[in-house]
Amino acid sequence: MKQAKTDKKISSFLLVITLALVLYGISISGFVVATLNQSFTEIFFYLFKFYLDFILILYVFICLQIAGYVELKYKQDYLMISIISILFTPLSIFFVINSENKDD
Amino acid sequence: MNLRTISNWLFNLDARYPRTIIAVVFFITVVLGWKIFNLEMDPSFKSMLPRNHPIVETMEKVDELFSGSDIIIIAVESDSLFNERSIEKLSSFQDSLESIPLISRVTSIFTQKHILPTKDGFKIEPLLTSVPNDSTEYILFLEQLNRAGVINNLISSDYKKMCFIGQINSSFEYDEFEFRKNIYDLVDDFSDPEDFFVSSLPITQATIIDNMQRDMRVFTPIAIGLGIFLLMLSFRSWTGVFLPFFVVVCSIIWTFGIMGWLNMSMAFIGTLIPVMLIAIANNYGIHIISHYFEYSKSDTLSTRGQILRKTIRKVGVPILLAGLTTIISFLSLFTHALPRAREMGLLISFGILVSFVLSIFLIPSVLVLVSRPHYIMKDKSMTLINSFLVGMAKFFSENRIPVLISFTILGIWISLGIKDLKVDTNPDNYFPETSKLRIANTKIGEAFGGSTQMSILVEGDIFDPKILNNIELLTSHIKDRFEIVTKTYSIVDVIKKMNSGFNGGDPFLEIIPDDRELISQYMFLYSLSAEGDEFDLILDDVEEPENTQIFLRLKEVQTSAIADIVEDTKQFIAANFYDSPPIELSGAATLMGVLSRLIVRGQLVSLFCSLIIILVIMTFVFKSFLGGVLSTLPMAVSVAMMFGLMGYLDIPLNMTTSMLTCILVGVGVDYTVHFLWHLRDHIRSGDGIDDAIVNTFKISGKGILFNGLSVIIGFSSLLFSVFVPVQIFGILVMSSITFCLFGALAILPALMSLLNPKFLYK
Repeated sequence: MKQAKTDKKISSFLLVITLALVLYGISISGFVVATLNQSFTEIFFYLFKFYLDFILILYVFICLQIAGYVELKYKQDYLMISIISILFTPLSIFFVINSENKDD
Repeated sequence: MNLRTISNWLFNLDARYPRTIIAVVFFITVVLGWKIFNLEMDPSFKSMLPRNHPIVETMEKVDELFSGSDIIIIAVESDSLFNERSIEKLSSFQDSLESIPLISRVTSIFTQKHILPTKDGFKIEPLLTSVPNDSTEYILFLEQLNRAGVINNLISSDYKKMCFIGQINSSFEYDEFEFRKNIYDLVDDFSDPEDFFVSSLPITQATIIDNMQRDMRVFTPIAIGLGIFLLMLSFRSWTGVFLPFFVVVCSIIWTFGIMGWLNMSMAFIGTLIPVMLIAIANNYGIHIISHYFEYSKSDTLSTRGQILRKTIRKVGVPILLAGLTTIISFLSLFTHALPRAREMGLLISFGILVSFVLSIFLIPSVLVLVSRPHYIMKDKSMTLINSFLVGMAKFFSENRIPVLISFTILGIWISLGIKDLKVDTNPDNYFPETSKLRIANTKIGEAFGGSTQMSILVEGDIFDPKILNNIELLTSHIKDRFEIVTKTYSIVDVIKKMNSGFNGGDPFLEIIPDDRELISQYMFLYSLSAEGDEFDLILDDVEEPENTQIFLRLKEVQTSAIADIVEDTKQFIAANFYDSPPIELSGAATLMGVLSRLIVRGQLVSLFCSLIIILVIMTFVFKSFLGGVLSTLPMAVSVAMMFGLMGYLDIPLNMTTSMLTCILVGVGVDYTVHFLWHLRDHIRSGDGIDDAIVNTFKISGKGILFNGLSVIIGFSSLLFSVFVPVQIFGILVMSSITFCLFGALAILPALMSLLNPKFLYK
């Protein structure tokens, strides 16, 4: 029990430092300053026009991670949930979980 | 401290501090990844050159003495080249080309002069003094071109193509990409109605690197995506797909991060690092996951901790051995001729070490925290793949004799392709026949005898008739002996023309005079009537030259032929001019030819060395020479089969393809180590040889198969690239892994079943 607490404390400390480093990195990268004078629509269209491939890869990646969470948490079939998540957006997973809960 | 104690300690650390381990990995990844954005790309071919190589040293000397030795040829094609409008336009093009900083001098009919005999000796006149206005003048003009000897040099024999030969004034210190852009921008401005064709070795090299990097950027994510998809189908679990994936991603980030922190730049060859790690680094994670899943399924009563402890105990040593042997195969690159390849060997070894460490720390830490996947706990999960593997095991052990005979015949047949294996590189063949670059190289090659040249640096009293005769003897020897050499050019050609001109244009007197003073006088006369920079390329000083360059124009870049020319020329010089001042070969094409042969030979030596080291290690591990041989045999056969396949598919063994043998050695040993180690484990548990093979297939075969198939399917995407080297890359990675899979999952089980070796029972 004591080890588990130590584990959580050290890991939380390290994760906070890591997060702080990431935020610091983003702040000095110039990305925030560059986007300050642009509207959300402008940023969206800019990213859509020049980084569509990265956006798609990121979308699929996030869908697969959410599907993983649902698989491990709600004991769902990972392959099925991943396909549903990618095709119908991760929001659709809530309907799957809700409908299964109702069936139970 | 025995292995059981180490694996227990490892498991206890993973089980007690899982979150800390995960957080530490995140932290180190961010800290190391911090410098990736500062990583400088150095994609130029020249950045890979070994600066202490004799040819490189001669090239540097040539750069100091003359205005360079590399050339660019720009050809212009038109049905009416010699009308007033075209001549004015092309004259303006000549001026623009000369204004590009990197080009020291442009030779064309606008600058070309010819020697005309006079009563007092000879005079030098520009070749193009006026534009022919009518058909009579046109015919006279063509006759003049023929007399001046520019046909097939500056004008094609059909008079429809004219070329501009630009001298590049540096061999090293320039950006090939910027140079290519300047040239193409200029050509675009002047194109239409005339067609322009650009050909030059630096431009070809820049285009190869550019295309390869662009295609790798597009196809590598697709390759990873397909690999992930296959793992999803195989394991049907997030843990089975993403834990090995994160290990690979972290190993790539850590490797590039270390490069960033050490202020290393990333050369063109560095783009192979992620490819190699994708093919090799997920291996360890997949084996841990595969065993964890299998033990979880077969032992539903044990806790997650107990299953993990058993998994680490069972796979810890084989993945350590697999990692060690792979690292050795990459460290063997330390014998490589190119400093960048040595650097790459060290970096990939580091990446593999990272992936091994993360596989035994990070993956168990996550598995401790998350529940066992829902899918593997189902009764029918993995039944199909298990039945397939068990069927395979039974088939190969029951039909061992026919299987071994069939594979031996197949192996010998494929390996026989080695006889057609070419150790050569012709960069032109990297491009489709319809590509702009290939069309240009072909047109220029046909009309003007090629766009690449080698050079030879001659030292001494250049106007000494003995040295001039030596130059003539050497150039005649090379031209007679090698068909690829279409033209030669040296000071001898000019002096012979001057001697003939001085003697009323008598063609029989186009010879080297015996008198040194006479030669000096010719040169003096020439310099009086010329502008003074005509000999910048071939003489370091017009009055008292101590160095001169001989140029050899090549029909195409064939590294093998170039290396032959270099070897033969060196022998000829040593045999005939041993008492004369030094004569050294130089030029980018010369270096490319010599280095590619050196690299391929070096790579084969390092491949042989790594095979021997791995044989020794495996002999030691299994405490049996037969064990060592059997561990190394499938990989050695795979190497022979891959070289054979390359011979059949006409894929040359060059700098890039020879380096891919490292993937084969790395992956090949991993598969056999896993198979033999677990086979021995099952035999020690009391199984007979055939049952042990079946159980090994069932428990360890999945890891080997899933890992291999995910890489094969992933890299199949490279076949859709339009760029030939990327396709070749895909074919070679896929074939390497396929051969290794067959070695571990077909040949080895059949051999084990047949031999039933004693070392498995020790």
